[in-house]
Order: sequence, then C-alpha cells, then structure tokens
Amino acid sequence: MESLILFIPLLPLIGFAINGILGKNLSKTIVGIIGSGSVLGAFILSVFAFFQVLDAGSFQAVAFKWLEIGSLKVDVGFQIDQLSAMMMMIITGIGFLIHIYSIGYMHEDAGFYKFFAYLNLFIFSMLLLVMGNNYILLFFGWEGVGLCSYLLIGFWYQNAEFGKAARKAFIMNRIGDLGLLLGIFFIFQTFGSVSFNEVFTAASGTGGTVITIICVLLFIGAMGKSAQIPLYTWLPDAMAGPTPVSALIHAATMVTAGIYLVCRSSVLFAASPEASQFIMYIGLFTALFAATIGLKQNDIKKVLAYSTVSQLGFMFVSLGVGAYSTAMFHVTTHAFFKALLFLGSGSVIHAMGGEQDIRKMGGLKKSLPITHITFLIGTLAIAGIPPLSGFISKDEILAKVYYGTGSLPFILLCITAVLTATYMFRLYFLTFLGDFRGTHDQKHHLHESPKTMTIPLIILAILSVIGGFLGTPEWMNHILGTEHILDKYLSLLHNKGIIHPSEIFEYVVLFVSIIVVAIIWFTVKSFYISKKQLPENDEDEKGFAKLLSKKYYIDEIYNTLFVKPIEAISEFTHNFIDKMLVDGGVNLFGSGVKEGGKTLRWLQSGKLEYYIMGMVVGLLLILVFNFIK
Amino acid sequence: MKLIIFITISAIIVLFSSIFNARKAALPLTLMALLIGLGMVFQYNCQCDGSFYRSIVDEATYRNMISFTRFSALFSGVMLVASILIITLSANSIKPIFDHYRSDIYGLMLFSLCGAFILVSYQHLVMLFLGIEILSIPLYILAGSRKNELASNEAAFKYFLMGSFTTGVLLFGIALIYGATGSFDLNALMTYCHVGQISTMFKVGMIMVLAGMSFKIGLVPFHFWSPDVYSGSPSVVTAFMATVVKTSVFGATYILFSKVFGVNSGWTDTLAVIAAATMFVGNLTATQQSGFKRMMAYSSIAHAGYLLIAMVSPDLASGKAVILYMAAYSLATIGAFAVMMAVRRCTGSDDINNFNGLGKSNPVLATALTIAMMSLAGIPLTAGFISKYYLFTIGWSGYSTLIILAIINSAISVYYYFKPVIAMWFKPSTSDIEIKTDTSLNIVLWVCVIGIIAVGVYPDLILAFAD
Amino acid sequence: MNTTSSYFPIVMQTLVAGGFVGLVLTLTHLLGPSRKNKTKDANFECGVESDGDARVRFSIKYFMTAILFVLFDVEVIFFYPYAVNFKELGGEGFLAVLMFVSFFLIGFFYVLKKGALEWDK
Repeated sequence: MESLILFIPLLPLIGFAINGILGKNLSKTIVGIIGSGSVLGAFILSVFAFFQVLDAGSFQAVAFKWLEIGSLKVDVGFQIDQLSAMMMMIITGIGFLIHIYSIGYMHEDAGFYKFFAYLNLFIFSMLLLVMGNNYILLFFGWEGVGLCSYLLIGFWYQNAEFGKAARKAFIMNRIGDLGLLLGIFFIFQTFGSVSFNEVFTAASGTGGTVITIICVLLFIGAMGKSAQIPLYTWLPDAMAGPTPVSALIHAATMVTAGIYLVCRSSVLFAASPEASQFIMYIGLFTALFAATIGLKQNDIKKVLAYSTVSQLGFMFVSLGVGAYSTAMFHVTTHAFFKALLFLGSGSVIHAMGGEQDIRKMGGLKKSLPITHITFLIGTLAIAGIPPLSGFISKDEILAKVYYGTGSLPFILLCITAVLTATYMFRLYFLTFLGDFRGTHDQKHHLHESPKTMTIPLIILAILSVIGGFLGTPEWMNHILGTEHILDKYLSLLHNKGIIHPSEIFEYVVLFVSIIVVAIIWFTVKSFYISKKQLPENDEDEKGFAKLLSKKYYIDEIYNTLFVKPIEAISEFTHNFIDKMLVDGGVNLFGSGVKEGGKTLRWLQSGKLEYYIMGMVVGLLLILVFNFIK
Repeated sequence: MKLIIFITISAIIVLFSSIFNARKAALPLTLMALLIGLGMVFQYNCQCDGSFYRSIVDEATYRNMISFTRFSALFSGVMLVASILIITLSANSIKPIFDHYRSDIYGLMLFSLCGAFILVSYQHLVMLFLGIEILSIPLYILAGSRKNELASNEAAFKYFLMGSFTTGVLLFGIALIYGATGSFDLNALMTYCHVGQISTMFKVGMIMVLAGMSFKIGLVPFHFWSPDVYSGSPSVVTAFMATVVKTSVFGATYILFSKVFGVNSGWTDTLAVIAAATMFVGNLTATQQSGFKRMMAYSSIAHAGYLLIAMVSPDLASGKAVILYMAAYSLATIGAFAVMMAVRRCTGSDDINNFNGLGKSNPVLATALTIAMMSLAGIPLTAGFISKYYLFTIGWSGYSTLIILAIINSAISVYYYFKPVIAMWFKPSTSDIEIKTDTSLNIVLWVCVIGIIAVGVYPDLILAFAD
Repeated sequence: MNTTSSYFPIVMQTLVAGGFVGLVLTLTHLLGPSRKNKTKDANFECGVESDGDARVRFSIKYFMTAILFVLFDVEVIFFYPYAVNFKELGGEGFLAVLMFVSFFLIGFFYVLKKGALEWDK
C-alpha cells in the first residue's frame, strides 16, 4: 500500500506532464480522458488509503530523503491519517467530478489542454499539501496551489481585468504565505524539526508566548489562502477564472487549505487560547461582513464568492472554539453544496452565453430543469433546511459556539445564517423564477447543458442531501439510532472537550430555523416574484444599501490605504533610492567589475615569458609573506 | 589499483587499435573500458564499509605507494562519468581530417585518466609526482592534437613549457619536504605535522608543492596558462581538462593538504588569500570575454577559487562538499561545452553572438544551456546551487570572510553566465544558419540536464555514496 | 641561529650585487655614445652578410630518430643499477624489469607500426 500511496499525487502529475507537453497535439477527447482519468485513479487509490486508515490506523509512506542541511532534515514523505485521508477523498473526488464537468464546459476553448494541465497540476499540489508529513512539504504544496490558482484565475489572460484579478490573488496570497513561512521558521527554531510527528510530540502539553506567535503566524497564512479579513478581497475577484475553477479551487478545496492547516496543527492551536480567540473573532466578523455584502451583489458568481468567504468564516469560528472536527465537517459539506452551486451557476452562464448578471436572467426553471433542481437543492442546503447537509453542519457549529464561548458570538452567527438564507433565496428566485429578462437571442439560445455537466451536478446534489449524515446531531441519533461518524473518525484532532448540547436546545434550534427559513423564503419570494421588484442599478442605490453594493468600499479603502501609499513610496524609492543610490551603487559595482576585468584582461597578454614571470613573482610573494611575520 | 591496471591495459589496446586497422573500434572500446571501470568503482564502493578516507585492508598497501580508499573511489567515479560523457561527445565532433588519430586521442585520454586515478589514491609523494606527470604528458599532446591549427599548437607549447616549469617547482618542494622529514610516506608526514615543530624547510617545501598543484588547478597567480590553453585546445580536450584534470588534482591537493598536513600547519592563510584572488580574477576577467570557451576557462578558474573554501575548512565533511561540487560543476560544464560545440560546428566560432536567437531556432539546445548556466551560477533547484550551498555551509566554520567574498563573486558570475542566456532568448538571430545536433550530443545533453536537476533537487544521489 | 639577523649578510650581498648591476647598466647607458644606423644594428656587424630566415624547416625524420634514440637510450641506463643488484632483487625484481622492458617493447612496436622509422616514405 505504501508504494501505491506515492501514486496518488504522482498520477495527476503525470497527467499534467502529458497534457502540458503533448496536449497541443492530442484531441480534446484524449486530453479530457487523461486529465480526468489520472484524477479518478488518484481518487480510487485515496479510497483504498481511506479504508487502510480505517482498518489499521494512520501510517507514513516516505518516498525519499529530500534535504539534509545541518539539523534541518526534510523527507518527501506522506502522512496518511484520518485527516489527510478525508481531505484526499474530497480533493480527488470532487476534483474528478469537476474535471468531467470541465470537459463539457471548456469544450469550445482553445486552451483546452492547458486548462486540464493546470487543473491536474493543481490537484497534485493540493494533494502534496494535505499528504505531506512535514511543514516544508506542506509549504511546497501551498505555494503550488497558489501558483495554479494564479494561472487559472488569469486563464483568459487576453482580458486585462482578469490578469489583474490573478495578480491581486497572487499578491494577497503572498502576504499570507509570508506569515506561514515565518511560522515555519519559528517552529523549526522552537522545536528543531519541521516534521509533524516530531513537532507535535514536542509541543504537546506546552504553551506560552512562542506557541501563540507560531499560531498567529500560521493563521496569517491561513487568512491569505482561506480569504479571511483582511486578506479576503482577492476571492471575489478570483471569479474571473472559468467557473469549474471557481468551484474546485475557490470553493471546495484550495480555500479550505487554511482550515486544514489549523486542524493539522491542532496541537499547537489547542495550546494557545489567545490565538484561538483571535481566530474565532476574525472568523466571526468575516462571516457576518461577507454575508452582508452578499445581499447586494448582482453577479451570480460574486454572490457565491461572498457566500464562500462567509462560510469559511463559519469554519474558522468553529476552529476558534476548539471544535476542529466540526470545522472539518463543515469543510466537507460545504465542498459538496458550494461546488454544486458553482457548477450550477456555470451551467446557467453556459446557457446564457456568458451572461453573469442575475438581473438579466429569470425564469430559467423551464429551460434548465436539471440545473434548476440541483441548484435548488444546493440553495436549500446552504440556507439550512433540515436534514440537508448544510443545516446539520452549521447547526453543529452554532451549538459548539453557544456552549463554547457565549451568547454574543452565537447571536451574530445566527444573524449571519439568516443573511445567508436571504441572499441565497434572492439569487435563486432572480435566476430561476419569474419572467425571462434577457435578450431575444439569449432566450432562443437557452438550453440544458450536456450530460458531462449535468451528471456531476446530480452526483453533487445527492451528496449535498445526504452528506450531513456523516455527523448526525444527538436528537437524530436518538430517533434514528445513528451516531456521529465524523467525530469518532477524527478523534485524532485535539478537540476541546466534548460538548453535549441539551436536547431542548437542539429542538429549539431545529424548529426555529425551519420557521425562520420558511419566513425568509416567502418574504423574498413575495418581494422578487410577486411584486416583481428588481435590484436597482448600483448607482441608484442609497444609504446602507449603497454601502453594501459597493462592498463597504473595502477595495477603495485598500487602494487609498495601501496601494496608493505603496505606489507613492515605490515611486520615491524608484526615483531616489533605486535610481540614485541602488542603481548608482550597482552601476558603480558593475563598472568596477568591468574596469577590474579590463585591467586583469590586460595581464593576460598571451606572452609566455610574462606568464612565467608572473608565476615566479607570485611564488616569491607567497614565500615572502609567509615568512615576513 | 585494479582500476588503474585495467585502464592502463585498455589504453594500450585502444592505442593499438589503429595499428590493426580497427580504428572504428576505438570509440566503443574506450567507452566499454570506462563503463567497466565505473562498475569496478561502484562495486568497490559497495563492498567497502570502512571510513571515508581509509581503504579496505586487502587493497591497502602496494608497498605503501597507493591506497585506494572510498574517497579515491568516489573521485574516480566522478572522473569516469565525466570522461564517459566527454568521449560520447567526441563521437561526432572530431573533424574528419583528424579522424585518423582518433584512437591515439582516446588512448592518451585513458593514459591521462590513469594518472588522475593515481592522484586520488597516492600514499607516497613519488606517486604524487608520477601521477601528475602521467596526467600531464598526454595532455600536452592532446592540447596540440589539431596539428595544423596554430592556436592548438600554441596551446600545447605554452602548456608544455609552463607545465614543465611548475613541475620543477613541485619536485623541488617534494625534495625539501623529504629533506625536512626524511620520508615520502604520507603517514610519516602526517605524524611529522601533527607531533612536532614544523621546520622552515618543510614550510617552504609545502608552499612550493602548493604552487605546483595550483598550476594544474589554475589558481591565481598560476592561472595564466588556462585561458590560452583552454581556448586553443580542441573542445573535447578542453572539457576534459576543465573537469577530469581539475577534479583529480583537487583530490590530490585535498589529500595532501587537508588530510595529511592538516589545517593547522600554517598553509591555510595563504590558500585563503589565493582563493579570494582566484575568485575575483576569474570572475572579473570572465565578464570581459566574448568567446564562450575563454569565458568558460575563466569560469573554471573562479570555480576553483570557490572549491578552495572546502580545503581551508576544518570541517571533516569538506571532502564530501568537494565531491558534490566537482560533480555538479562537471555536469554543467560538459553540458555547456556540448551546446557550444554544436554552435561552433555550425557557425564556425564560439563567439557569444553566435548564440543569438538560439532560443527560437533550437529551443532544446537553448534550454539545456540555460540550465547548465543556471547551475554554474548557482541558481536554486540546480545541482550548482545545492553544492554551493553545501560548500558554503561547511566552509563557514573556517574562513567566514571568504564565504562572503564567494557570495559576492557568485553575484558577479551571474552577469557573464547570463550573457549567452540573454543572447539565446532575447536577441534576434543574426544569421540563418541552422544549428544541428546529433544523437551522441543529444544523449550527453540530456544526461547532463537530468543530472543537474536530479542532483539539485536530491543531492543525496551523490552524497549517499560518501556516507 | 635561525634569526632574521643571521640573514643580514645575505641581504647585504644581494643588495650589493643587484646595485652593482643596476649601476653599471645605468652608467653605460648614460655615458656611452649612441650611434644608430643600419649597419650598426645588423645582427653581425662584421662577418658574412646574413641571408634569409634563421628558422629553416628541416625534415621531421631527423627529429624523430633523434628523440626515439634518446627514449630508448634511457632504458639502457636503467639496466645498470639492475645489473649491479641482480642477485639481491631476485625473482620479483626480474619480473619488474621484465614488465618495464615489455612496456618499452610495446612502445617500440607502436613506433615501428606507425612508420616513424621509415626513412624514405
């Protein structure tokens, strides 16, 4: 098995190599088969690995010793335990579905082979990230996914805006990466190792400022990758990439790398209450903040993007209160329903011929029956209708927060949940119900997507429905005789105490949420469908609504606060420091080098007698200097 | 020892192949001999579990003349691999008019290689001297093997005159050392250096031996020959001199100075100054060159300067650093020479302008050269980076100022290493001559490129042998 | 004994010797009359008029024969010490010399086959 483990990341890498090098000359069918086939292979092997872990517990597979510099020893080795096996299944499983979907979605694109090559490279890097048994390998994968994300956001690089979005994502991520890298340095300095096993063995039972610093630094890395305040603005812009990319990278997998990092290092985070507190508040505000922005967005993908940021906030809140397995639970269910929603929106965009504005949609229910049903399931799941997966995992987070920290965060989270349901229903109604508001051409063009696209939708819809049963709450356990599979499975995480919510609490939450969601459903419906209200143009918005539609002007604020001053500083440094001091210095150095070179070249006259003379003089000088002291 | 005997006999056979009208067999015979030699080295290294610098008992003595240790085995391995690559490279690069001498050229290379093996396994100063001579004399002829080219003649003549001059200095040094200690045996010298007071006569002898060795390595101020000889000699021979010869003499110097005399017997200051001077002279002059071969000559001077860092380091692992560095350097140099030979064959000169536009017309060659240059400059993910890093880490315990100078020099070196790279990728082609390659050249290129990257990512490929 | 001051006489002698040479050279240059014309600057002012280049090409065959003679001549020199110590060196010594001779024979054979000694070819 251990040698087979190596093939899990290797297969996508091979796929990348074949598609990247030969793809130009291969037919689209073959490129698609290689791309998806390699991921399917990785998925099957991951399933095997998963069962191996179930049977025999975690194990390591060391491919080779990579580096040994001083006391720094790094192996290319894989740690297959409950956490990584789960992530591997999500990555390869959903990855495979999205590969299949992309065959249909990208079919007309000239860069078809490039797209699949990048996707495979992404799967490889992501697998490296979750499988590595040390922080260096994790960092390697971390950078790899960042690179792939950059390449894929800017996939349609002819559009300058998209290129800018890609750069923004890259730079924001680099800020986070710096934190992560510093964190790794600190870890190495403190524990003398970067291997997970050694670090966690050394760290268990310790605490103190150093651990807090490490945790905060690691979390800064997570902030960048998982789009938390203040480094979240890249994610909505990242929607410039093709929709399958948004689904795979910016919803289901890469953005959860931050959650994975914290879960992986749960020993450290459990040892630092301060850092945990910090994470919880950041997560909480991100969740609320992004949800409010989501209310006023009119781009179908932007809404989903803000929703992703908000849901990631939920996960961090859960991590902050020490409920690591709950966060992983939400990662899983979120991967299902958010991938579903993104792919559904992709199907819509596909049918609309590239249109993304929901004000120009409406009434798509009839022409896109499968997309409609699956999208509805996804919407209901995220909005929190029991017993769909989204409800169960979100409910668990709410319970953990209520018992973990207290009522204020709990209330804020509840408000966020209400907002979530609101903007999702708004999205759904405006897109699928009512009358069609697009052009005549578009109406004529409307069609259900091909099978390669709808089948993944159906599979994901089924998963979104039943995914919640991985972690059934206690009241359900009572009725159905089930148990919380995931808690048991992820027992390796350092969860903070097991909380048993009282049954009354659970029933209250259950019924209240059903009622509230129902109320929202009808309110939103009456607003947008019965009264046929349409969202106003951005310019016509007033007051708070305008603030929301402008996303709190965060981009502008960042622009004024950071970009402009940095530009000014760089202008200054360019003109003064760089041109005068550095360039001057470098030129001085350069001309020194040149002049020195010229002088020395002159010595090389080509005349033998001078050469021998030079040697003799040199020898004499050496002798003299050796005896003069 | 078996290796030395075997290669000598193969050399004679190769030499005689022309007499028996089997000139075509010379190339396969040589390659076969080298491959078998490599197998012998490998087998020796595997069966040997002793210390890095001590030989296994049954091969030990030969009247205390030669002791073939794992250190020798590793150096021999590096040299054998380099020779195999160079001889493969020569398969199609020897001009038709010289084809008549093919067997002689290979025979001489093999003889020279024997001297190189002796140099990394001697146990007696006389063997050191013999090794240097056996190494050099074939080289003098090889340098002039393009009989009717003036540059080649000049190279041979210069090399010979200056070489014999410095051999005299070396011999004088050995004589002084013998005078001071009464022995040629390395063990006796080691005892002398570590036990009692070191006499002035010994010290002078030591410096003269150092001068003699420095000449062969090409250290300042004994480097004058190398640009002229490198650019005048046929490219195959130049590649041989830059890699195999340098490796062997470096091994010899390392044994004698770092291991026998020890870092405390007062030669390290001298060598550190020489190292700094060598780096600067090599790198600074290289920036001024427009010919690729001459540039590589200066580059090889500069690299010898870096390598001295290992020599003056008291760290016991410095031998490993030397081996890793030599392996990385040899791979990159041979790769670069291979590309240069292809360009030169098609355009007629090795001027850097002739590389213009190669990125478009022959991207494979251009990529290979870029990787080789990156390795020489020490850019990460290449063998050159990891070996330099390893070398500097080990050297830090010795002369840390030297490391800083070396880093400055690495920065300077980027300037000229990227000259051909820039020419290839960013300058438009000046002529429409198509640069063609052949199978043997392609094989060598691929081996070098894969080797550079493999060692760069995973240095244990080589270091594992030295554990 | 080995102090710096004990080198003083040597330093003095070096200085005097060098100084004398320098002095004489300078003086002749300053004092001597300098006449420059074609006849004065000729290689041999008095004697036979020089004609043609001094560097005449001559056949490599002379050279080859001469150098090969030197090579094999040296071989003979090595036999003297061996002959003197013939008995002491015994069988092993005999083997060593045999090897030595065989190497030379191989070389001789090579030279012969390469045609280095064919005078009129």
